[in-house]
Amino acid sequence: MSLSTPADSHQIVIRDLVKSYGSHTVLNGMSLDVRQSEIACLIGPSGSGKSTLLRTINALASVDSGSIDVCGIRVTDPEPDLLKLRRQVGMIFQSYNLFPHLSVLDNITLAPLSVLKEERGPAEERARALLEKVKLTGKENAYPGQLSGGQQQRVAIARSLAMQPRVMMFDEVTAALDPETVKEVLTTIRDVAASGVTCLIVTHEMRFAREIADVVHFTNGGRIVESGPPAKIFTAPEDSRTRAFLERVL
Amino acid sequence: MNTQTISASRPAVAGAAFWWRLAGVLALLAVAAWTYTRYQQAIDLLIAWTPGLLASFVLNIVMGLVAIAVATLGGTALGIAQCSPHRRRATLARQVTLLLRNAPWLVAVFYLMYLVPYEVHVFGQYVFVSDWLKAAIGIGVPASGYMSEIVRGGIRSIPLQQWEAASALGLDRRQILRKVVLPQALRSMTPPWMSLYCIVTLSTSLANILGVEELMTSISLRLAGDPRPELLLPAHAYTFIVFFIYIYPISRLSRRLEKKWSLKE
Amino acid sequence: MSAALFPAGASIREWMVEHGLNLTILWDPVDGRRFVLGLLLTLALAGLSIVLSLVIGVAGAALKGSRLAPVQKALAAYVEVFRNTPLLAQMYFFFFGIGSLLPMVVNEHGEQVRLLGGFGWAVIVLGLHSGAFQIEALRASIDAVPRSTVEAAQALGLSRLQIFRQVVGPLALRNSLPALSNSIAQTIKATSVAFAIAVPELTYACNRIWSDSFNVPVMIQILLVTYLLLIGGVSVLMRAIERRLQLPGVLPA
Repeated sequence: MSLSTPADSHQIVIRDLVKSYGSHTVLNGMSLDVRQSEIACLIGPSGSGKSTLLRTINALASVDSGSIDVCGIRVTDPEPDLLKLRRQVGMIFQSYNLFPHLSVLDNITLAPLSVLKEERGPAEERARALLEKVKLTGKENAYPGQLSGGQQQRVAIARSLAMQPRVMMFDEVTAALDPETVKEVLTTIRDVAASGVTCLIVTHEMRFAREIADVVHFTNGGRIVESGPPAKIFTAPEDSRTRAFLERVL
Repeated sequence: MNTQTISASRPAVAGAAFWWRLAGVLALLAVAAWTYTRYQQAIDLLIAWTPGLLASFVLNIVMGLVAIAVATLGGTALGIAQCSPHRRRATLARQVTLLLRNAPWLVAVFYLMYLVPYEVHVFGQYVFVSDWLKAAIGIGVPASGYMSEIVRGGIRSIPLQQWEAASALGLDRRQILRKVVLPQALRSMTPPWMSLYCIVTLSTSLANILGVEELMTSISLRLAGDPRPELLLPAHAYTFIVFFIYIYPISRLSRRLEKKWSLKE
Repeated sequence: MSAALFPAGASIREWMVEHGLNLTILWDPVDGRRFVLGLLLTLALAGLSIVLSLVIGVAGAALKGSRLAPVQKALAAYVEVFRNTPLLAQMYFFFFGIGSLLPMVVNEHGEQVRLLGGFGWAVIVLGLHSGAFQIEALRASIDAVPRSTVEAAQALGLSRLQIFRQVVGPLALRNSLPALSNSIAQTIKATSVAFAIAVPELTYACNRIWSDSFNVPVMIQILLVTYLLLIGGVSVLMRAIERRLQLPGVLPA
């Protein structure tokens, strides 16, 4: 667990989150701090609450108790400014969730046009630039059904980036892809991280986490058990549970 | 350290739902009381007529049973034919199914009423074919189209591996259908079949248009003999109630079975 | 085909009558007019009641998402009543039962008639009857839009209205087309029940024609074939619409 430092140097401050689905407690006193421009990876066994945590940060799921502050917005308020929150925080899902009835270009420009009220011309220009960044130039008029999984995931990343968020959350985005396409998506995430956006990445790709992360957090039983720089966590974990997990997956 | 509870607001008084329910029941009782006082004579009259009316409703039920029997026999044959490996047979069965499904039920009833004679020469005897029987068959025929689709869906829901395993054991197509595929498909076919029974029984009311003395005709005849305007609304509501009481439980059972069996899979 | 204009026509007509094809709708102006009027009325009945049922369906499907228990119960009651009672009984109840409560007005011929006639009630009853099925079908097509797609739209900051208009709506529409096609076919078939309240639609018209001209066998075939053509035509149209709206790269259902 990181030290309590002044709130304004941290972009995401989460304290003592508790969330249950019926009798099953998913988050059990989860606390986490993420600095600006930091790349934080969350690793841990399935069901330890990682995905749920990301959802609560973005107000896609409610919490029973605890507090979440993101970019100065208190998400756990009774009536948070959701629009403002979701403009700052982008989320990429495991199942890409592209809009099947819109072309790639329209998928990317939908939110800028509807939410940011941009003009179509500049919005489309930015969309094309983003497509270039994710190495999908030429696919503007394709439909999601015509793209591979890896391509769809990269479009999803471009779509989120179009909102120019300050925080990007990645929820096991390569879990549903073939090994060959995993690489291209990881490269894209690396580029996003390099551009200074704060990244919160839930992943099973240990090598990737080790290479890219500033901080690695190990979750178990709905809370963070151990945190530290990747070099330390992966070579000399302190907690026995962390060790057991890493032995299984590495 | 701030802790805020953002749980959904619970009602301040435990049992707010109870009060709502009580209010609903009281409202219903009030409506029932008002209806009775307003239409007292009509309701008493309807209650007096009930034995005769229910006897007429029995005809509806009998017609429904005949119709579903016709539909089941014809529809099963058609449905099996639709899945036949012989292309021409399958296509023909498909065309017939579509034709039956697109025919209005009233027209089908007319068809049978007008084109089947009053007497049929069978086995050297003249057999009198009564009106209601013709109407019931008339309803059963388009219903066969629906049954055909139900059977086709049921057969196709059985995985190919079952066919292959049975084939490997030496069974021919007919045996596979009878012993392996259809028994398994029976489960998934039952809820839609019950649903079809409901539709068919509701359609028996169409026989009223052709003068068959089922429930609605019975009511109309009695109304004709006692033309009081305040009788009209309750009398026609009576038909609603009788059919509803018979059909609704079957419909609900069918839906419950469907949910239960689809969850199991 | 007036015998005076086409001498050949007269002999064709004789040949047809001899062979049991007494198609009076072709050469008898009264019968012909009845038939055409019947056909037009059937189309009008079907069209208007489908529109009404869609309005009810959309409103009901939207209301079904409500969390208020009384709303859910009221919707459930409406749907169950109209689905578990005969259409004919519904027609009689509304036309004879409720219709008798309506005031009398004087129409353009100076006659005393009820405010709403057979055609009007038929549209209302067919619309209500079909609407009960539409609510279920439309709700199912909205629910069939994957939750994850909605979440993605939420994560992008779109408002609820925007999500419905730009994401859920178009996808639900595509989901609803097969059931809608079926529903239209059912409604066209159901218009024949308006016969019972003396609406001169197609079945009623053919009934009068064959009662007057004694050509039951041929007219009944015409009646059946006309309905089949109508429904077949609608099916073809709906399938064309489905194909146009199909998403590229997605296999047809």
